[in-house]
Amino acid sequence: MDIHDDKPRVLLVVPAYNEEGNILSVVRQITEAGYDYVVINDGSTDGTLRVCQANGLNCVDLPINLGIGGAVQTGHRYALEHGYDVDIQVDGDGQHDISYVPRLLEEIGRGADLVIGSRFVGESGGFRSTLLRRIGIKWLEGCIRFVTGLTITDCTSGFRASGRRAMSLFASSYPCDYPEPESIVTAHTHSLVVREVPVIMRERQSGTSSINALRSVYYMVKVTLAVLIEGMGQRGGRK
Amino acid sequence: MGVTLRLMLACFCLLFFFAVVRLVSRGRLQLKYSLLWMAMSLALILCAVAPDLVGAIAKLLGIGLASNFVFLVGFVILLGICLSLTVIVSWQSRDIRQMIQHLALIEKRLSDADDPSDRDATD
Repeated sequence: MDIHDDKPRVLLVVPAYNEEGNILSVVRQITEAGYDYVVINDGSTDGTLRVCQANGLNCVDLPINLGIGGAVQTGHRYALEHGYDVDIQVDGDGQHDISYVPRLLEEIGRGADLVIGSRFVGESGGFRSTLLRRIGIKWLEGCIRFVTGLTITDCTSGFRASGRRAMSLFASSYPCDYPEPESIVTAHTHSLVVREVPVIMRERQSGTSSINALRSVYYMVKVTLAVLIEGMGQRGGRK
Repeated sequence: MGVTLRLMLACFCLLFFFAVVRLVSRGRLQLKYSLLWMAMSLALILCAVAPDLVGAIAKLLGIGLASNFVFLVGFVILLGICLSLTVIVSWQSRDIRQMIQHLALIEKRLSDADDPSDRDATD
């Protein structure tokens, strides 16, 4: 009875760590747009879980904080378990504009396995982050191009769609700390098709971003190494 | 090496060896993680019992002082143990992460089953 029509089943995955101020409006936007969603409460210490339960949100509650990678991976596993064809990661802080979801889906429909919503391709405008972070993103872009040959202009973007092949890959292996750039390389080494589409992002609505200034150097070193090592795995073993 | 030093060293290593064995027999240390420690204490006992052998090996490797050779070996073994510990920690954190995810997903399924009005109940 599982007849495949043209419309893929789409799930929006909303990882949320201490987002009690944002989560409800993010979910409202999603439900107004008519998508299925699941909130992954990543062991928040604020009232995120309470807000989810009080409003009857569809929520998976991680009893211990796993970090963004662990939360997103939970979303991939949930999507697979429930038979979705595409899952789309949407940050719980309201940065991502739901109206771009069809653009991501369109690219999946054209055969991409992983589609990244990028602030730096196509039309300009919207929130583009600070100069220092843009430099960091440029650097990572270079690293990713070096190991994969792909040009991904906004590799740290958490606004991304995964098709079934990417979902099952990420469900079994997904980097845990700052997974966005590394997972692009992982997808490429498993010969998945990675593409970008232009999106416009907003500044976060409330709360603070998870990457602060002090940690950013550590972040850059770690992600650079992760990208290079992940890319080396490709050259050594699989084609 | 003086006799007193050799005796002390041998006693200390034997004590250490039996401490490790005791931990294993009481189930407080898994056998597979104890092997490196046992190997280390046995190697050190060998050093205490047969210092001439150690001296000969040290000379062969171009190390003048036998004690330096002993330090080197001890250091390398400790490095190995440290590295294996971080490998074990990495396995464990991966396993724990997967278990937490599994637990959360099961819990979600249970709460969905309690509330049949939920849209995921029909799948």
